[in-house]
Amino acid sequence: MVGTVLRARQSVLVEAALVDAFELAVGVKPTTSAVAPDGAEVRRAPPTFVYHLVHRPFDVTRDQRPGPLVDLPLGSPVNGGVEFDFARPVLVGEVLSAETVLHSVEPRRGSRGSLAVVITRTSVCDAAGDEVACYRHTTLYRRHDND
Amino acid sequence: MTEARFDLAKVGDELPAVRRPPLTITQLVMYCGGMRIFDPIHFSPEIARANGFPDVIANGSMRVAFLAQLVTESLGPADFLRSLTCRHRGMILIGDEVVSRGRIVRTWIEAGVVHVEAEVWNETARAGRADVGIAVVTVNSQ
Repeated sequence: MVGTVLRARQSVLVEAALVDAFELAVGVKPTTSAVAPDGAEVRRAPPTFVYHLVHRPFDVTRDQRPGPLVDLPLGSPVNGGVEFDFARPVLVGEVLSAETVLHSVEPRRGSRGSLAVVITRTSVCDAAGDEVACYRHTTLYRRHDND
Repeated sequence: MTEARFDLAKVGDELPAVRRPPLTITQLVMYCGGMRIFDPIHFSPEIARANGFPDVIANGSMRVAFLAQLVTESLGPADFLRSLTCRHRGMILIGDEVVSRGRIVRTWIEAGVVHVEAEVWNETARAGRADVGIAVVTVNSQ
């Protein structure tokens, strides 16, 4: 199961309108800029915007929480945290691609029963195929075998 | 204590705190819609409570973005956030006033590049340090 591609690599435009929404909601000053290879000044996306280049499938016909990332009998997710590495700034208007792979699944004994600790790794590459960022995300699930 | 600019950073310097007004549902809906996060515990009080939460809770990814903001607003134009970690230790709820803070804990030179490491955290009056992390910045002091 480890190494399974959970979300296949897909290309995504870093859209100005979505960066606007991110900056407005978070309260980030939309002033960060960088210099492109051709010398033009371009707008940087906030670093953790890359978190949102891949998405869970969702069902708009039901108001419910998303199911587990992996095909196991698991309870509701708890966000355990994230580790980012950035190789260079992400620029608004560029096309990136992202892929999420299952990094590990480990049991853990918590104060309220047994948990599954699921870590995924997402790689974000630019049009040349160079990795511009990656992140490892941890999700904790209560295991149904507690019941 | 001196507030840090990364190019002048010394161990013990504090980053300028980022203080935010109370978190609103409008803010969370904008974030969730724009970023396509459709877990309703982030915008529906009824569904949040039905899932055991006291009220609507802030997205983990938004809380990480608060920490990144703390760092990037102290960067010089050629400085760069190289890495950022975040562990969530408590809930941040609608109405909470989130303050992001940080402190320089280490500086070193690697391959001729100045690196600055800061411990960073989000705190609220109710939850204390709800998120904790480490940020590493590379500094271009030219």
